[in-house]
Parts: sequence; structure tokens; C-alpha cells
Amino acid sequence: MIRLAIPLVSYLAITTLVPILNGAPTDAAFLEHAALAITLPLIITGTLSILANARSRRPESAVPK
Amino acid sequence: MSAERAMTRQGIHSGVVIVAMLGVTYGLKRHYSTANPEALQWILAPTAWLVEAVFGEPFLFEQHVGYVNEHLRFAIAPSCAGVNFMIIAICTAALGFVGQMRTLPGKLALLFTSVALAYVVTIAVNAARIVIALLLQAHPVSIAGLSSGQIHHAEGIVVYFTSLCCLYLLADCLLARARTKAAP
Repeated sequence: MIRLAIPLVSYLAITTLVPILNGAPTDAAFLEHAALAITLPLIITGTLSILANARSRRPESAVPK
Repeated sequence: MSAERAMTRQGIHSGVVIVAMLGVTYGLKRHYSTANPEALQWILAPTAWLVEAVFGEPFLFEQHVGYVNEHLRFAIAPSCAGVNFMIIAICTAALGFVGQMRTLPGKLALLFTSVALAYVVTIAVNAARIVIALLLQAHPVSIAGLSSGQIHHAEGIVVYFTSLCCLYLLADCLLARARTKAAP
């Protein structure tokens, strides 16, 4: 998760934080966008982290030579 | 020079590059916020060309709209130019790897390479996103009661963010391998 913190923070900053700082209207459409733009990256980050951890913990003997 | 001074100097150099990165991304964001389809040709044209090459359907440029295919009822408009993804990719590459470059020229080269690679990657990923969107339009799916607009939006997030993470991990791996090889 920590390894993917930079892509996650960059993504959330540009897609959610910058529009808010620019004064984007926080209406239903924006909240719907924000909900998807926050939830999906968190799920993807979690999934990729689990896969990356599983790969790095694989015993050396299991790695094809 | 003591190790501490060298580290301080490296920190200052990283700061300079991060400020330069913020300048580049701010300029890009500002250009994007006011640009019409004509001004965004630099990114829309190669994306439309790649979508045409993959999907086999022509997209014609229409003033004030973008690249349009009447038959598919699909427009590659400024809102789906992928400029925000390009900005995110530049920030991710620069912030993620600036600490791994030891000299100022190395750090500046990283920034220039990030901008160039982010442009190429944005065109490829955006074209893939559009092709998937066209396939979803042709073969609609139903996911958890989401509307077609919400599915299109979610598809964009999944394609963009997964690509960003995979490319970041790949670059991290390649840089680590290069460091191992360079080590005495």
C-alpha cells in the first residue's frame, strides 16, 4: 500500500482536491464523481498491494529459473 | 564534502525539480481549462488516430467538438483528452523517483523524461479507455444498478488508475534493477 501511496495521492489530489480548491460546485454530480474517484482507486490499490506482497513473499524455489 | 551537506544539497535540488514540476503541471492545467478542441489537437489527434487504428472506425475532426464518429455516436472531445491523467502521471513519476537521482542534471532529466513519457503513455492509455468504452457501448453491461454514464465514468477511473499503478511499479522495478547493476 505504501509503495503505491504516490500514485494514489497524485490521483486523488488532481481528480478530487484540485477541483474543490478551484471552487467546483459540491453538488450531487460532483459528489458522485468524488465517491467513484476515491472508492475505486482505494480498491485497486488494495488489490495490487495484496498481489505485489504475495509475489514478493513467494519462496525463491518457486521462481522459475 | 560531508555526507550531511551532500544530503542537504540533494534535498535542495529535489525541491528545485519539484517546483519546476509544479510549474509544468500548472501551465498544462491552465492551458487545458481554457483550450478548445483546436488547441488540444496535440493530444486529441494522436488519440483519435490510435483509436481508429485499433477499432477500425474513422473519426473526423469537427470544429468546436473534437473527433467525431457519427455512426458510433461517439466524440473524442476535450473533456476526454486525458490531460488530467498526463498531469497525474508527471506528478507521480517526478515525486516518486526524484529522490533516486543523485545529481541536479539527473533530476532535471527525470522531469523531462517524465513529461515526454507521460504524453506517450496518456495517448496509449486514453485510446485503450476509449476502445473499451466503445465496446461497452456496443455490448452494454449491467453492474450493480449503475447507469451507462456511471459505468463509463467508472471504466475511465479503473483504466486510468490501474495503468498508472502498473506503470509506476514497472518503472520502480526497472530503476531498482539499473541501480543493482550499477552498484560496484
